[in-house]
Amino acid sequence: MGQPGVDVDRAALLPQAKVWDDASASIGQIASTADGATWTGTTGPFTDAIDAYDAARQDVSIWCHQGQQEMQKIADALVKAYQTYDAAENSNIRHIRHIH
Amino acid sequence: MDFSPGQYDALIQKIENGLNTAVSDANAAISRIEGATSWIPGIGSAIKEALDKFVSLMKEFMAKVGEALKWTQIPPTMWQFGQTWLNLATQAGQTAVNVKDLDSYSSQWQGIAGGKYATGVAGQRPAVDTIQARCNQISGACTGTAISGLAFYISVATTIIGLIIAIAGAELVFPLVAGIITAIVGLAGAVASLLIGVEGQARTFQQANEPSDSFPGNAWPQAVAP
Repeated sequence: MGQPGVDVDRAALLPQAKVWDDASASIGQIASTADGATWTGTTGPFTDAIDAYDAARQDVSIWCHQGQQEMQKIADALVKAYQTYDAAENSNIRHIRHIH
Repeated sequence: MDFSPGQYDALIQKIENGLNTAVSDANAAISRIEGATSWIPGIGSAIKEALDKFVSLMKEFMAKVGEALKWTQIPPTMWQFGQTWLNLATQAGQTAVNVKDLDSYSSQWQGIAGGKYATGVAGQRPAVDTIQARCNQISGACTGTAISGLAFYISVATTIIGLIIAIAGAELVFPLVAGIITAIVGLAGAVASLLIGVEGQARTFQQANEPSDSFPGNAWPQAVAP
């Protein structure tokens, strides 16, 4: 591949990107579901539990929205790495042919 | 104690019907007792006074039960939320497994970039594991809140049945007053038990909201190489 210190199975990068892409979608779905699981009516004697529930629900929602983005970044980075390595490989092939 | 939405709806219907029966039986008992005693000089007025007290306590009881009936949708909703969060926990668990399976690729990207990738994603799986645990905790507390509500409304129904038994066919004013006082005390006890149950579930929700090492700075770990 023409780059010192690099040992990569390029074919393995895309399946990994797919896993992160799926994980991103799954965590995003959890965030969306958490967003919808809210109680909007009066709470009466249930107030303490419902207030505490809502705080816990919001944290999970916020974390998962962030997680969705982070995992998508990983998936995108893997695809980018694959494309970069692929471009380098093709460039090297052209140089080798030129030598011959 | 398990929660069945169908049985819960039947329970609430039983409370509403019971209230109507209690009011009807109370009116009948008042008419009966007044008719039988109002002509008695001296005693008639004392009984009338006791009946007025009964009516006042009955109104107080009805108002309290009416207030309690404003929150009947909370237990089934929390039970439904419990199921939702349980499903989310399962989904997070499967996601964690899928991310863990990426370990099988660990030898296939060495070097500087591969190393940075491995370091950068290291915090992701613990974060997903923690989400799974939090979802399970929230699910359990939602279900617990629903069960506390169910137990409360069962107590309300039992109190109303006790009141109906006390006043149905009563020929004297004493059983009426004793019956409504017992009902008011019973209702206060049910509310106290509910508050204790709700407080316990609130603590569980708070535990599901405590800071975690999996979320440094209370945020999802960033997937960036150092």
